[in-house]
Amino acid sequence: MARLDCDVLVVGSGPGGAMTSTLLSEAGFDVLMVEEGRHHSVDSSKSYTLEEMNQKYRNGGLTSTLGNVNVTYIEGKCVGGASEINAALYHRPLAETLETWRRDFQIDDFEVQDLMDQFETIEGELGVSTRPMGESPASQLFARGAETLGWKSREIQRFWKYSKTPEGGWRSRRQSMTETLIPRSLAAGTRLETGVRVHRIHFQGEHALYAEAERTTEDGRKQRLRIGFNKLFVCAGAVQTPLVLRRSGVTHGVGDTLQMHPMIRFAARFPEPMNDPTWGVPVHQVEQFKPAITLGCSHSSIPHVAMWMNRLVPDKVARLEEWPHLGVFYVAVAGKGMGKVRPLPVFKHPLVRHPVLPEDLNLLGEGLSRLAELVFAAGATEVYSPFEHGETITHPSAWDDLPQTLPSDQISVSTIHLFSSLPMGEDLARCTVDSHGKLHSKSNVWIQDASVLPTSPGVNPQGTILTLVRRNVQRFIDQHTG
Amino acid sequence: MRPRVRPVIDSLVDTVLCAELGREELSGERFVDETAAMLHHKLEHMPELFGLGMLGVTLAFDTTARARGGRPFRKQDLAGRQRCLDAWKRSPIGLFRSFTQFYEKMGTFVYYSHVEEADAPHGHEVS
Ligand SMILES: Cc1cc2nc3c(=O)[nH]c(=O)nc-3n(C[C@H](O)[C@H](O)[C@H](O)COP(=O)(O)OP(=O)(O)OC[C@H]3O[C@@H](n4cnc5c(N)ncnc54)[C@H](O)[C@@H]3O)c2cc1C
Repeated sequence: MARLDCDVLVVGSGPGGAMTSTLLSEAGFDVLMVEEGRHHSVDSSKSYTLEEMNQKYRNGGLTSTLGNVNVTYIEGKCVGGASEINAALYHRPLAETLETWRRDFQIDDFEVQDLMDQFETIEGELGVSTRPMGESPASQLFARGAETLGWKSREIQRFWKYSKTPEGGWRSRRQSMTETLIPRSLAAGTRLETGVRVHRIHFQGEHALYAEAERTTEDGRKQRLRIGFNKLFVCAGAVQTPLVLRRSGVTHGVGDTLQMHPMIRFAARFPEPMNDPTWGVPVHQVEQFKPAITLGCSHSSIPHVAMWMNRLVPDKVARLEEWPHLGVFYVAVAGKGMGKVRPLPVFKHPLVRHPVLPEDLNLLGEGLSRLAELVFAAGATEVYSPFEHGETITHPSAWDDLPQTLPSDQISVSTIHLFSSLPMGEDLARCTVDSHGKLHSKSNVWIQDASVLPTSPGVNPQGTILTLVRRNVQRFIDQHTG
Repeated sequence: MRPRVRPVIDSLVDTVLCAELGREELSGERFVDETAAMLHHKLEHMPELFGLGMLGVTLAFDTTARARGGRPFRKQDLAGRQRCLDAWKRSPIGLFRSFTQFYEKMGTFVYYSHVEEADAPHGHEVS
């Protein structure tokens, strides 16, 4: 078995791991970061395509929970984690959400103003912006619908950088981890090993000693590894982090409270062309019903639109030929259901059981009904039912009673936001890690990723993850340096 | 299991794409084989629990279709195959519905991904 040694081992290179390794290396620690996926540049594949799914998504994007309603979920598996495949929408959560976390989970030193300062730093360091060239036609349409109904809506900022081309056009680039923190981390001395999956951690009492891992070379050969460290940061994401811990025998409260933002999409048709993939994801959201319900526009290339038009759509082929008139829209809700992540004997992948609670289904129904109202107000002539046997509708009143009648056996629910599998705080009945991410039950293991969010942030989570991790790792540095 | 399952996947994809494109048969149609090959690849890269389960259910679907059409699914004509798929799509058993959903949704997505790549390799927003 090959051996690697370091002072600090960071497992996973998504937003949590990238932030952790950057700050620690810059503070002078000897850091080794291991990542199961490979290093691909941010533009090595087009966004939301089959090629990207095969290259950067875990299991090619086909992973599901089991429960009353199965939820398909997406995780990134590449250097930079899901920041490489996401829409990079950026939000600060509501101050009330942070205050509730502080109170309910008994988080120490968690003052809203301090956190807002951290958010500001992140915004400056990574770069968040709106589009200098204005909103896409789909976003403008969405905004018009919201305005007609008197609902609050806005263009959402993104982790994105824009620059002018010599010809006077715009060049744009997602500020994913491989574009921002990973190069900074490497420049500060972090060693990055890709294709390395940590299986389990070995402990002596409360102390973690070494990690057992497997390296897969580019040509598919496997090699077992033993990685020695003094301090361990697990940043493998809200599903994989509890999986690694449970495999290692750390089970108390681990992976028992996985939460998510369940989401349903539908496609709609407009009289005027409104879909142009060169604009990328339309980034307008309705704020009126947040944090419980978010309404927005989705990526709408032909394969995505086609997937969201069921077999009852009349003349589907003809309609698809006019795809510039078609767009995909989503409703996402702040789910209250808590799922469990469990390793399975023999298998590499975990079993994730998750209930979509009746109240969450009601919210999804309410969201769909409101979303239909909005797109019709924006001028849509047809909304294609997201239900397996649902007819196309031409008026929003057709879905007036959806909150009560959502056919849960006919819906496709998915999620891209997973968190809260190891909530942080001092309330030992609910929190597996302390106010700064250290495992309560171990002396040298910290968790710094989406897992530590106490509950749903009610907004796209990456900004909150980066902010909490920044805060937590700074505390670690203060405590472990002269 | 692989050699046995691939012909069933081929006929599932054929059935799904005929319905999708409103056609009686797909001879000469582009990307049908590519779609079936990609679905097979996807099944093999799913988490083991689902991938193995789905492969098993695919074989079971083929065999149990005898009860409906007197032959395995892959040997039935298009109308028979569509009836078999429709029956599972309306089944009270969630697993059966998930099965048809996988082939319909992924089949559609993969097929149009190939079409889009070939016909309209226009710029998605870079990165
Ligand atoms: C399609 C999509 C769109 C999204 N859009 C947005 C958005 O617009 N705005 C937003 O705020 N959020 C968005 N998100 C969510 C956001 O990307 C995630 O919340 C965030 O990336 C989570 O960060 P993380 O560090 O916790 O984990 P991840 O990003 O999941 O990173 C974990 C990394 O650890 C690696 N890893 C896992 N297990 C191991 C192991 N055992 N050994 C070694 N390495 C391992 C993984 O391969 C992965 O690279 C989106 C997510 C997806 C999937």
